[in-house]
Formats: sequence, structure tokens, C-alpha cells
Amino acid sequence: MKRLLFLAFTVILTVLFGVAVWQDSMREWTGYQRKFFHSLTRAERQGLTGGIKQVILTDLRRVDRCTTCHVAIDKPQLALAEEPFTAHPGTLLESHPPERFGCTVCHGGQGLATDTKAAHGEVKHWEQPLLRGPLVQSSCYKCHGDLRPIESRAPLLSQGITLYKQLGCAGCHSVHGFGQSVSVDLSEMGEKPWQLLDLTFVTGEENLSQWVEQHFKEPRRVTPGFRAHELPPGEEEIFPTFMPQYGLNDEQARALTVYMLSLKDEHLPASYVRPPGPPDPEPTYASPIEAGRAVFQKFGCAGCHGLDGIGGRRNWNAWLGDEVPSLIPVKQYYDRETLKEFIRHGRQPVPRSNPQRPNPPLYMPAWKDRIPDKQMDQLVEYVLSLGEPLPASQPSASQPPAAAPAATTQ
Amino acid sequence: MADQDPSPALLQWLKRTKLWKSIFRHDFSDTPRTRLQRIFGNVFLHLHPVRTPKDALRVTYTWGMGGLSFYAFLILVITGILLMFYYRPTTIHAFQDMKDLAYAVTLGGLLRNMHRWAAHLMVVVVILHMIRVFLTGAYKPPREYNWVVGVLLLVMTLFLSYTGYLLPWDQLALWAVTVGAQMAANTPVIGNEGPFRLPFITTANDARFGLIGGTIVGDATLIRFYVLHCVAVPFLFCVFLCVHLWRVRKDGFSKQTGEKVDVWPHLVSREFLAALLVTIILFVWSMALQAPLEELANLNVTPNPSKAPWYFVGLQELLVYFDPWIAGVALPGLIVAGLICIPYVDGNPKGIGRYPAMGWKRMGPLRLWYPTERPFAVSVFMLGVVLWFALIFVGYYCRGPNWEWYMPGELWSHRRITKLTLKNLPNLWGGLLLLGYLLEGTPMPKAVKARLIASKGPNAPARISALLHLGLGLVMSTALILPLVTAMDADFPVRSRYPTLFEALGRAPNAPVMSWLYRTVEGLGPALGTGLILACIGVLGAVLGILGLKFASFKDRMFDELGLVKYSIVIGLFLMMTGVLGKVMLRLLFGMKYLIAFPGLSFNI
Amino acid sequence: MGSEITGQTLWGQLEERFGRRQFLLKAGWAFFYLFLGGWLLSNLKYLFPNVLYEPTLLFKAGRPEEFPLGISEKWKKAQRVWVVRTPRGFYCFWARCTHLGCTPNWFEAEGRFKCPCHGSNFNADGDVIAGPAPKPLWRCSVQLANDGQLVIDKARLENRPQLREQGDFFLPFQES
Repeated sequence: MKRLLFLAFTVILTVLFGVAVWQDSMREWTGYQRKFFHSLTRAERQGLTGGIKQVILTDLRRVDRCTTCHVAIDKPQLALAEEPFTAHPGTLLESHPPERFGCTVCHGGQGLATDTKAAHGEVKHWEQPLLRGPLVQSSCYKCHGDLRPIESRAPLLSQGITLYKQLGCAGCHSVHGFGQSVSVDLSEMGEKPWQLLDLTFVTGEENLSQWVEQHFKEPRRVTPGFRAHELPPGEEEIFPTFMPQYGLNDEQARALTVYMLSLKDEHLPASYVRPPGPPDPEPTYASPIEAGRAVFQKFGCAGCHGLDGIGGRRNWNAWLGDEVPSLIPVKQYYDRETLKEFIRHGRQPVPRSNPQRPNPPLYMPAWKDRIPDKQMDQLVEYVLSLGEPLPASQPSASQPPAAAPAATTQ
Repeated sequence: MADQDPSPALLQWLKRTKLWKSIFRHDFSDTPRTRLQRIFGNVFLHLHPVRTPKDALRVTYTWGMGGLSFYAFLILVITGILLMFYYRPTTIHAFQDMKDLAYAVTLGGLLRNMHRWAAHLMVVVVILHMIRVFLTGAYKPPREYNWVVGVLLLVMTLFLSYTGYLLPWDQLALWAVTVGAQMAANTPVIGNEGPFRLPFITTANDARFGLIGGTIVGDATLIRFYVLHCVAVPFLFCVFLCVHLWRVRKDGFSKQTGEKVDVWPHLVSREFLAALLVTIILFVWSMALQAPLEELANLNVTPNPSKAPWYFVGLQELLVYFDPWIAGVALPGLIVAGLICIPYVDGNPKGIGRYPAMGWKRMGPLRLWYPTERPFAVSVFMLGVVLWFALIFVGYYCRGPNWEWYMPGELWSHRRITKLTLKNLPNLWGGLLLLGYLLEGTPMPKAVKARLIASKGPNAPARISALLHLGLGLVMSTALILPLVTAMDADFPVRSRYPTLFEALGRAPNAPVMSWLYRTVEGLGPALGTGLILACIGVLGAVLGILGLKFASFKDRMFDELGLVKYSIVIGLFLMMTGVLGKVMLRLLFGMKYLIAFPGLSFNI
Repeated sequence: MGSEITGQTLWGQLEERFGRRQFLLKAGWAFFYLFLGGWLLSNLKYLFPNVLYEPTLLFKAGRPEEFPLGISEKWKKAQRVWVVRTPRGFYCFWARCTHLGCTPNWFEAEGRFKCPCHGSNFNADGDVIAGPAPKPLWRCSVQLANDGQLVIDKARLENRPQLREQGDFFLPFQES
């Protein structure tokens, strides 16, 4: 009996060990490499070796093993049409040699991994999944502080930045010190850990980019708050997010997502970083009202008060009908000085319409340390002009205000 | 002999060489003489005696647990040494090296899995070994000291696991160690956040600082734990292991029945088979299940929920019910001290070398499957074991995000908001409750009994004992319920909307008994309600009193047998254990946080 | 001269008391244990580092006007603190659960800090409103530097209800 057991155990153990060794030597990449080498002629195979390939990027503190499977990524003459044997499209590798930049610094993913799912970072416990499609543009902003020279390469990113300014996001959010602090600081939005996100209502893949994109399109679906029946008795109601629904189309939401993902606190070495370009020349405006309109745009007043101050943004339990007030009737209630004082000090919190319910989430922040006096005068001029009919001549001569402010610097 | 040796000529020649003879001192034919020579001619096999009783070899007696824990340790040493070739204990490299082991090192993943799972296996096997030794009375004289060494080895096994847990430098590692290290900060006297802190103790010189080498878990902690895990603790472990094994040999095996047989081949072959079987299990386990590796450690983000390895989850669950210094320092310390005490307070010489006989016993309306031999020792020890594993079960399977209660298999929701209301008992009442509970442990010594019989007649001791226990029960139930229904809520109006404790707890979803009582009393009206409360006090008091009375004669007998010191140790440990259970119940059923609270001294019970 | 005599008499007394050989042996052991104890103690001290490679405990957190009303997570990542601004002034929490040192999360909508480890909840004052934490969140000292910036010192902590709302732990601040 014991002898039989002995034999059985040793046989099982040998088989198990054999299986383990076989599994270990038959990793996914070995199959890809074998397939690739079979496609080559003898001459082409010259100088190519198998095994795990890696690029060690000391300055970037990364090690990328992507070329283990993507064998032909920098060898267009050997590349095949099928993944992972394709060559890098376009001419980007000429200016970004893989020996110096690696792959993951732009594309995301897990450089150290050697099986597909893990390497693409589409597994649990890896925070940076592969930036598929246009999302990869978000990486350009890491080094290219000045996007103007590469606008054609990163159209979505540029569009995102433009949209961010146009929609007046800076009225509530700040990025690298510019913007109000009514809501979260977005300076490190691109590397927000997924553990801090509520992914309950995100459809599709559960990751940061999905959360951001869906939150842009339908903020109140992704962060719906708590209705009374979801709460234990006696708990105070929790409003949905006060992020306005801007009615963005897919492309705009994607563009803003790309911008959000580009906001990281990554300290790249100076040798990689391009200095931001010279600021745009100060645009000239036909009138103080025009200049004021630019100020209104720059500081993000439109984020809450709407384009040209028409209002309509939801603000739960605010004393003026659950909404951020429109600025059209301002002229009837304020003169120049009281309006200026009001903007300077803001109103926080906004009075409640129903005292039983919590404070309205949005409020008017204080602007006195943010808007310089001269611009404040222009802004007041503009806001007071809103109630009047537009002047006959359209302000086509001046620069479109959205493009005016200089790109934010890292 | 040599003439009949059928082996080939070359081997025969080899066996005649000086080299061979200098290494192997005997030949390998199966004769009674060589069977003995194999054991005492070999330094490793010499751990065994030469001959051993046949009954001791039965698998169902030891289940091979001692040998297997040793074998698990060997596997851990070997895989550990191999892993050290690819591991650098710095915060920039450690996590990367883990990834390398998984993705780029030949069989690296398997090796890491084996190391991790063998550690789990070793913890299981060591605990089972301890249970076996207890049940078969193998800690009784002359093996008391070896039991102590064994307990220390258990502690070191757990400490090895704990220190090894940090090394991958992922989120799991960081937070398990942060929580563990915080217990050091809650050590009384020398911990910055513990009770009775010395005046010069700060975050930068307390026990936690000494353990992790800084004020936050960082590079200094990593290298410290690396040295502890790879060198310091294994060294100590080996020293104690030598003593442990040596003592097994010297004190003799606990089972001495049956004829004696040769250890070679009877025991050695069994050990070898067991080792093979465990290797197979470990291989399958390591090939099927990957050792966990989460995100890179990040001090700013605590995973939710953040759970310790399973063998510490019981402790983590305990931390929910008690102040950190009790659950993290005092209780573990007392558990270890209690385990060490066992052979010295257990004076019962019976039950060595066999599992206790079990039988059915009537206990009131219940029929219990009960040890007929050593009933107290066995049931108390097993109660402790069951309690420990119950806590592990609850912590591991029943706790979700924000450490809220979920049924096993229930979907976790990050959107659940539970209003947890926890209230303290006013200190005086809480103190009375504790005192009443501790007094339940007092016995009535023979001398007192004799005096009582002499002065008050033959029934007096029983009468007085009944009076005492029922009185204590009543004191405890009054001290619990009366303040809960009459006291003001200390948090009103700052954090509570309800002026009385009764109202606050009556509306708390986490105090089911209190909210039931509150609703019923409200429904019944003041007169009937007061009656109900009084009835509750009476019933609970009677139950507690009768429970104490049930054990009264047993306590008296135990006191007479053990004497004051041993009795105090035994009853103290027993009360502590059931007290833990009681406090857990108070928390779960009554929404109680502390019985006694002195926030200024960080002293809360 | 006098001291020599007392020394000799002392020696004589000791010899008388223990006997010469016994005395040498006992004194030898005494010194051995003295050395051993001292050496072990020095090793204990050796394990307490004198210099640390950690972020400094005292830092400047920027100008008070930069903080909005409510709880700011601006310094949570770098310094593990929350800066809280109320209409009356500033205080600052150490972002560390008083139960076992996990990092709680701030839930703006619910107005409470929740610790993921054992479910302790704290309100915006730092008081425990649920869970096992034994005491309120620690507040760090907040002061105004000469250059108008907030200076936060994590080495000085306070959480007792009255003391934490005064002195160095609360910075009255009214925007002009």
C-alpha cells in the first residue's frame, strides 16, 4: 500500500512539475515571437533574437517590455498587417525614439507585464489601462506644455482645452492653481485612483476614462446622490452632483475626457519637457464691454451663469427657483459699485428656498483675489450691459474670446 | 555479506573505497542492525528515536501536524532563499521585483505563490498541531516546557507572516502593516496613543516608531521588516525549533502504548509520504491560485475594505468592538500568556496520549455532545478556538466596504449609508456591570462553607450561594438596562437629536434589542412599559444568575483543588474569554460602545 | 591618606562578607551583566533612528484666501492633512484615523469622513459619529507666517473639545 502511494505521489508530482515548467516556458509572448519569426525569410531574421525585450528608461523610471510581442513596432520593413506585428503608424517614432521614450509613457498600460491582458493594463489592480484610440493624445500634454505646434497631432486634446475654457469650467474647478475652488481641484484628475471613484453607475468598462466621459455626458446619472428612500430614516438628503449637464456630444465629451486624463502630477525630467511657448498677444477689444466679455469667459463665469449670462444651471434648493440666477436682470438690482462688491465677496452659502433641505451646492465664490481691478471694471461693465439690447455692430472685429487666454502652464 | 552482494562490481568497489567509508558508516541492507544505524548514524534522522510505539505512528493520532509544520517551514526557507535572489527591499524596487517574478523570471510566479501559500499552510498546520497537542494532553508533565516553546513558535510563525506581508510593497502590504503598527502605538505606557502614556512619549519615540523605524511606513520600515523576515526571526525560530524538537526527543512521545517498532522504515517512510502529499497540494494550490498583488503602495488611498491576512482578520474584527489597546495589545498578550499558562494551571494528570472521550450529556433542555474526560479544559479550549475562527469568519466573509455587515455572498455596495449609533454606558453603571461580572467568578471555599454550616445549618451554603449569584445577576442586568432607559444622552444636542439614551438607541438600526424595547414600550404606554422594563431586568438578571449558579459547585471544587493563585488565573482567563463574547453581544444587540470611558487617559473598555 | 584607609577597610569588609574568591566571581558576574544590559539597551536605542527621510512635519500651506469654505483636500496627498475653513477661521486635520491609522475619505455630499478600515465616521468637526474610533480626529497647529501664509505643524496635535478650538489649533480669519 505504502509503495503504491509512494509511486502515485512521485508520478503526480513529476507530472505537476512538468506542467508547471511547460506553462512557464509556453508564455503568450513565445507564441507571438515564434509566429513572427516564421513569417520572416532567413535573411530578414539576421540579427534578430528572441526572448523578453525591454527598454530601460532610467530617467522616466520605467521599464517597457512591449516590444517582446510588438516585435516590429519600429521595423516597418518587417511588419505584418496583423497585431501585434504591426509597425507604429505615422512618423511619431522618428521624433520619439523608443529607446528614449519607451511605450507606456504615451500609451499607458503595464510595461513590466508580458501577457496581453496584464500588459495592456486591463486587469484589476493596475491603474493605467492602455489609452486606446484618441485617448492617447492625453499623454502629449505631459511634455508639450505649448500645444500650438502639435495641434494637428493632438486635435482632440486641443479641442478639450478649448472647450474647458469655453464652458467656463474654471469658475468652479482649478487646474494648476488657475480656477475657483467651488468644486474639486482637477490638477491630478488623470491619475485619480479608482478606489476613490464611485463606479456603481458607470456602464461598460469600469475605469477612470469611462467615469470621466460618462460624467461629462450625464453627470447626474453617474453621481445621482441619495433620494429619501435610499437613506436611513433621519438622514439628511444628499443632492446629485451639481456638475451642470452641458449637453455635450460624443466628440466633445471625448475631447474633455482626453484633457482630464492629461492632467497628472508626473515629474518628468526637464530634458523631456518642452517649455511652454510665448503667451498669446493681448487681444484688443473694441469696447470695455467686449473686454468684459473676455473676462467673463476667462474666469469661467459661464460655467454657472451660462453663456452670456442667460442662467439655467441647476442649483438644488437655491432661493431663486432651484437655479443659478441669470445675469440678464442684474442691471435692475445693482449699481456699478454694489455689483463690484458683490462679485468681490461672493455669496456663500446661497440662501435656501426650503430651510428643511440642505444648502444649495453651488455658490458664488469670492473673486477679489483672482480678478484684477481693471478687469473687474470691464467685467462689471459687461454684466450691466447684458440687460440691454446688443449693439447693432457685431463684435466680429475682435478675437474670439475663447482662444484668448494663454495656455495654462505646468 | 559482501560475497552475496548482488550490486554491480563498480558499486562494490566504490563501497570499499576510503571516501565512501568515511561518509557512510554502515551498509544499507535491511537488517535490524542497519535499521538502527540509519537513525543514529545520521544527524538529521537522529531527531527521531530509534524505536517508537506502534500506536504513536497512527495517522489519526497526530495527523502528522508537527512534522508537517516543520516541513512547511523548510519549504518556506528554500523558496524564501530563492526569492531573495530577485528581491530588493526598497520602495522603488520592491513592487517592480514582484512584477518581474510574475512576468519575467523562470518559474518565478510559481515560486512566489508557493512561498505565499506555504506560509498560509504553515499557519493552519501549526494551529491544528496545537489543538492536537492540547486534545491529547501532550502538554502535561513532563512536557510543560515544550508546550511553552511551541506557543512561542506559534507567535513567531504569525510574526514571520506579518513581516513578510509588507515586502511586496503593494496596497495590501502597506495597509496591513499600517494597521498592525498602529497597535504598537496603542501599547499602554510606551505607545503614543495608548493609555497611561509616559509624558515624554511622542510619535517620534514610541513603540510604533521603534517597530517601523519612522513615523510613517516607508523605506526604513521595508528594510527593517526585510531583515526581520529573512534573517532575525528565522534565526530565532530555528533556535526555538531546535529546542522544541530536542525536547520532543528527551521528554518522550506522548503516546507510549503498543509494541515498539523500528523508526526506520516505519516512521520515516510515513513522513516522506506526508511530505510528498503536502508538496503535491502546494503545487496544485500554487498553480491554480495566484498570490495576491494589488496596486503599488499609496499612503493616500486606503483600499475599502482593507482586510488583514485571514489569520489576523479575527483580530481586526475584534478591533471593531474594543479599543485598540485592548484588542490589539492586551487581548493578544493575554491569549498568548493564557496559552503558556495552560500546562501550569492544569493539574489534572489524566488524558495523556489519547483524545478525550465524548458522550451525550443532558444540560437543562439541551443534549450536548460533551467530553466526559477533562470536560472543563477541553470545552474551554475549544470554545476559545471556535470563537477565534468565528471572528475570522465574520471578518472575512461578513464585512464589506466601510467594514459594514454584509451576508456572505451579498453584493457589496459603496452606496450604502448606515447610521451607526453607538453609545457609552455612564461610567459608574459600566463599572458596576464589570464588577458584577468579575464577582461572578468568586468561589465559596471549603472553610467558609464549613463555617456557614456550623452557624446557619446544613442548607446555608446553597442558600447563600443562590442568593449571591441571583443578586449579582440582578446587579448586572440593572446596571445594563437601567441607565440605557433612564440616562440622558451625553451627545445631546451636539451630535444627537435625542435627549435620552433610550430614544437615541431606540432609533438606531444597529441596536436591535434596544429598538425593539423602545418600540414596545412606546406602544404599551408608561405604566405597562415600565412594567416591561422591570420584567426585562428581572428576566435577564435571573438568566445571568442561574447561569452563574449552574457553575457554582464546579467553581468551589476547582478552587479547593487549585488554590487561590491558579484558580484566579484560570477564572480570570475564562471570564476574559466569555467577556469578549459578552462585549461583542452588547455591541451587536444593544449598540454599546464602551462600558467605561476615560478619553483623557485613552482608557476605554 | 584617609581615603586609602576607608578603601582598605571597605575591601576588608567585602572580603569578610563574601570570601575572596566568591567576591571576585560575583563582581565578575555583576560587571558581565552590567555590560550585557548596557549593550542590549544600546541596541534598542540603535533601532530608533535619529534622522528620518520623511516629509517634514512643518510646512507652509499657502495663503488663506486660496482656501474655499469647507474641507480642502489640497494638501492631503503631499502632507496628509485636510485644511478646513469655516466662516470664522481655519483649522487643520491630520488625515489619519484615530483608530488604527488608515486614511479616511472625505464624503462631501454626506458631510463626513469615513474610514475604510473599520468603518469609523467623523463629522466636519472631527468628532466620532460612528464606528470604533476612540477619539476625535487630531488637529494640527495652524498659524499665520509673516509672509501671510498658513504654517501647519503636524508635530503638535490636539483633539480635546475645548483646547482644539483655541490657541495654535484654530486660526481666526475673516476676509476683509
